[in-house]
Amino acid sequence: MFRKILVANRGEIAIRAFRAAFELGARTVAVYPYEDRYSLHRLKADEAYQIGTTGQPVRAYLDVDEIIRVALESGADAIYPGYGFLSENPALAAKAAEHGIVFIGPPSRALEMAGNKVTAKEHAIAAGVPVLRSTPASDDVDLLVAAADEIGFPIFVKAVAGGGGRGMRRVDTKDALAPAIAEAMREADSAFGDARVFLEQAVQRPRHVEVQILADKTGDTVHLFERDCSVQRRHQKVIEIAPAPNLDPTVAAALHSHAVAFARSIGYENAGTVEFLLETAGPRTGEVVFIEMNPRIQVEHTVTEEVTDVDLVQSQMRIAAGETLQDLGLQQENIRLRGAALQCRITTEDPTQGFRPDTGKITTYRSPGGAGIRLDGGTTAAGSQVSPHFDSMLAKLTCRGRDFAAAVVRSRRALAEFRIRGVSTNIPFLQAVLDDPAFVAGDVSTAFIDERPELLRGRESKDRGSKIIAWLADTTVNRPNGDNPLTVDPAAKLPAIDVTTEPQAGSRQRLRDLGPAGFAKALREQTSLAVTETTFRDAHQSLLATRVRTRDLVTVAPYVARLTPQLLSVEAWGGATYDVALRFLGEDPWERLDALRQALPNVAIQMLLRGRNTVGYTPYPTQVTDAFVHEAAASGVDIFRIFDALNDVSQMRPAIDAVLATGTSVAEVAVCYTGDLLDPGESLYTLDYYLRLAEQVVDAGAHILAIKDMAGLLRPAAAAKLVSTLRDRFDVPVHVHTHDTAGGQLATLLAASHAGADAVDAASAPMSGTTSQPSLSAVVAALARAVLGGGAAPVPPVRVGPAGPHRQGLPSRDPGRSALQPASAGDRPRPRRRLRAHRGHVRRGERHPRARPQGDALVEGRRRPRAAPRGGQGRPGRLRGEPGEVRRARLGRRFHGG
Amino acid sequence: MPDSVVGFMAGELGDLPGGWPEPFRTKVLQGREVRVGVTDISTEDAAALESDSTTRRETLNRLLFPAPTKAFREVRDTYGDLSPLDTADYLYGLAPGTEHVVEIERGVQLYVGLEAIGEADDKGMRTVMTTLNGQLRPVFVRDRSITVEVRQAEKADTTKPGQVAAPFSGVVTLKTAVGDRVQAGQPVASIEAMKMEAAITAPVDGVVDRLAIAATSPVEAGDLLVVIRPAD
Repeated sequence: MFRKILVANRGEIAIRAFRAAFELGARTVAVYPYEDRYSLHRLKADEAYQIGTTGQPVRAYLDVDEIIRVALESGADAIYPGYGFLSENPALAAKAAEHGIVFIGPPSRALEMAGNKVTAKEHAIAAGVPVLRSTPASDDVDLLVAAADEIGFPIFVKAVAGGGGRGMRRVDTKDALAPAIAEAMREADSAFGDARVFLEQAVQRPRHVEVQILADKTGDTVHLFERDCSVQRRHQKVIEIAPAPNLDPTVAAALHSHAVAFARSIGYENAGTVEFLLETAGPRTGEVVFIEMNPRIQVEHTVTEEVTDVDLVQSQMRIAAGETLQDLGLQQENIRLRGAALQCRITTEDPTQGFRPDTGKITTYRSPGGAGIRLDGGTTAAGSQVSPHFDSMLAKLTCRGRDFAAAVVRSRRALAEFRIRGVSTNIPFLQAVLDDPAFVAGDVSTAFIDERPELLRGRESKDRGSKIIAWLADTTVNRPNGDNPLTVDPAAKLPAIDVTTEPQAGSRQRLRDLGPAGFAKALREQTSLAVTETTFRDAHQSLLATRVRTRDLVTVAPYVARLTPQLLSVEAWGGATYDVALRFLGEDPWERLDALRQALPNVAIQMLLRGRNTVGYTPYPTQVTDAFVHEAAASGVDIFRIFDALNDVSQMRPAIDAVLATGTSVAEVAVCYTGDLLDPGESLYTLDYYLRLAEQVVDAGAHILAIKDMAGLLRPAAAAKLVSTLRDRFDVPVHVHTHDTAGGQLATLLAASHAGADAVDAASAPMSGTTSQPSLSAVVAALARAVLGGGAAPVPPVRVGPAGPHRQGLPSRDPGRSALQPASAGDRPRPRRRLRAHRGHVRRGERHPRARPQGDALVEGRRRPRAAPRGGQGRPGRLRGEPGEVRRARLGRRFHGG
Repeated sequence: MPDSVVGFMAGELGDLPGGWPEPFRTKVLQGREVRVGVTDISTEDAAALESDSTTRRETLNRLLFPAPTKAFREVRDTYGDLSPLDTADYLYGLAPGTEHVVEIERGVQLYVGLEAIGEADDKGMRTVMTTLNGQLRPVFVRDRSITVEVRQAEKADTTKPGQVAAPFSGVVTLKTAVGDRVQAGQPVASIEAMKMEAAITAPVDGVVDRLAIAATSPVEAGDLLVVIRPAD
């Protein structure tokens, strides 16, 4: 064995050679140009020497004199060339011999013969090995073009000195031939220093099958079975398999014996590979033809090693050192195939960018391990830079299994385990190939990838971790929102209730059971005031430019579902939420709707829709409105509040019709309020104006009529007049919406409720007031002590929480009190309980008084009795002194909604 | 006069009950042509609206809010789904000495920490050393508060048809001169990278107007190589 072996190569094959040499007890020498000073192969050798000149790293590895210089300097007695670079260069072999250094490979004459495709073919013919029709080699383009006709198309242009798929072009038509020849010649000249090319018959649908050969100096030659390398992209091998799947044993045996015959005929020594094509289509199916011999170790040698347990690189070294195959224990009879192996080349080529090789810094590198996994890698650690100078291969993944199917399964698992970040990789593409049923069945040809363009698309690694930290890092550096002012996590303030329990049935179930018309009728008929809570939409739209994120809404929703199941609805969608989600929050509004629907299964979800434009600004044809409403309803919107800024009902018709067409959603049509209808000077926006509008709205089929006071102009008295008149004239329920801009709208809501309004909008206390809605707690507290008699219940705490849309404590029915009179000391049913309840927090574990399984009304008894006079401006009735029978009848009804 | 006011006066939102304020309206609309009407949708979009839920949603997003939807897609593609982030993390980023937990999926947690923020290099890039699940992860961030003096290579404008860009990094050799008449598909340059050579072809018929690089130059992906004046 040699004392010291210099490896004239880099990357994974250099490391492979160092490993083999180490096991054989030889010392090792690496070479590296300046650009490769960080490469792992330099560190894996005992000694390393810099070669070449800065700026020309590839040239360094091709410089015979430099290699010899280092060999002499380091005292190496052998040079291992690997593959590529100088591995097939007779000049290196010859120069080494001159200096008494052994070139680990075949002798120069064999290199020349095998490397020259034309002479190789002649030897093959002489050895009785079938070959392809071809022209002589030339650098005369015209001569070659003329010769092409004898062979026919498709045809290959091949570089005489080429290999590894380089300097090769397939041409299908005559007119593409001349430019292809010119380009191939240029490439051959720059890569190999020899511009000569020849033309050769192309097989129609070939499988690429090659046979591994080992031969010693005595001429003893063995084969180590075959490999299938059909899965190629632009003649670059992607996946290699040993043994070739689905190969007729007679054909396999023929390949093996042809390979050995050829190697013998040229007096081959050391390791080599004889390549064949197997026709799989047309009249010549099943025929094999010799194409070339590679007089060196190949990239895919690993699969042969895995299925034969023969260390090929060590064999190369030992043979070069003079040992015979017999010394190595390698006789044909005792070389056995065991199982199957599959190699995937992991590269930085990006399949979605036409396999453009990516460069950059690897920020994470985790490789797979475990049974049957073999990794041969170059410089691939976190922090390494992938340079553009050399090829893009990061690592070779070789997986072994009991049979081909097992090897495939193992490869899939190993690929899935890889975590390579910072550069693109071809891993998604490899995964797609391994999932392809034809591949798994072993039905391959060199057209495999071309036939399946879908393999190149899609399947991008989600890489969620890297993407999220990219956002976090960017935000940390650029601070678009300044410093974090919060010291408290709002989630810590959520009440301690069990949100895994099933929430109480609510308005959503009621809507399902009764249908929209029945739902509206029930709303009209119920005695308690229904409340829509707007914190999830209008409140933060008004106060916070709609900037509350889905996550926070969804965190709170289960609490709303369980603490206030009596709500008529939660207004949570539409308005500006759609635009802001997309534009400013990086969220999809539909995903928000889906998430809220799931977190709030029992309360109706309400959205605001603007006439024809739905949520956008461009007036589209009705198809868009229809599709929007259809999708929104299907996704969980129960109540659509439809409005038009100028109260044009015809503009609202398409949306109204679309909602009615769903059959399951409620069409609440809004009439926008402005001015002051009680002002004697008001000439336009009078009571009559609203009544005429309401008539159109009701004719259009609205289930509920809403009064939308966008600017907070509706005064209490005006509200009372408008609400009572509307209710007298129409059968639909009336829903009042206002903004507390001037600060007095609680009064308006109370007046409206007193006048018979069926529902009002309110917002969670900390998100209420000014441009938002009046406070829900205030509405409920103001109306809690209503006069309807019977069934006393305690008043749970009304707690004002920190900023955030969450709620605690809403009073349930507490009859026996007037809504408009303060509680007097004398007639309090349970003073103690109320006081205690108002004092502090609910202790953890204590059952919240509100968590009661009954359909309690949210707000009781502020409704004006039906017996009030019709058709005029009724006086706001007092709630005390209603006929007892009526009261009891109402109390009997358990099913109250919010 | 803002566009929204002009549009309003032109009747985009409908007709004002009680009539329009004159002479204000006439003044606003003077010399302006505002077309008020329904914007049609294409047959493809109409079909997409009738399709499955995912397609319908995507189409509605795009029709109703084209620019925000595009912005949203870019954020999604670059940063993934940000909705699992805690709002404080989303708005303010990482704080030193704090471990941030992000549950990106049920049962999948990421533990993120901040180790250090590096100095900015001459391109205004900082290395933010983070830890992800306990392992160091450098993230390269452009600090937008820093103006960069370094002259960047001219990038091709992909919206202009005659601009020829380098498809990836490598060394480009020009094959054409100013004034040459070229046809679409004709090679105008060749690029060498990773020891492979490929042709770069003219995207349109026309005349070579300008060469943006020297005869043989190293380039980055997207760099402008040749400008062709398209034949009309």
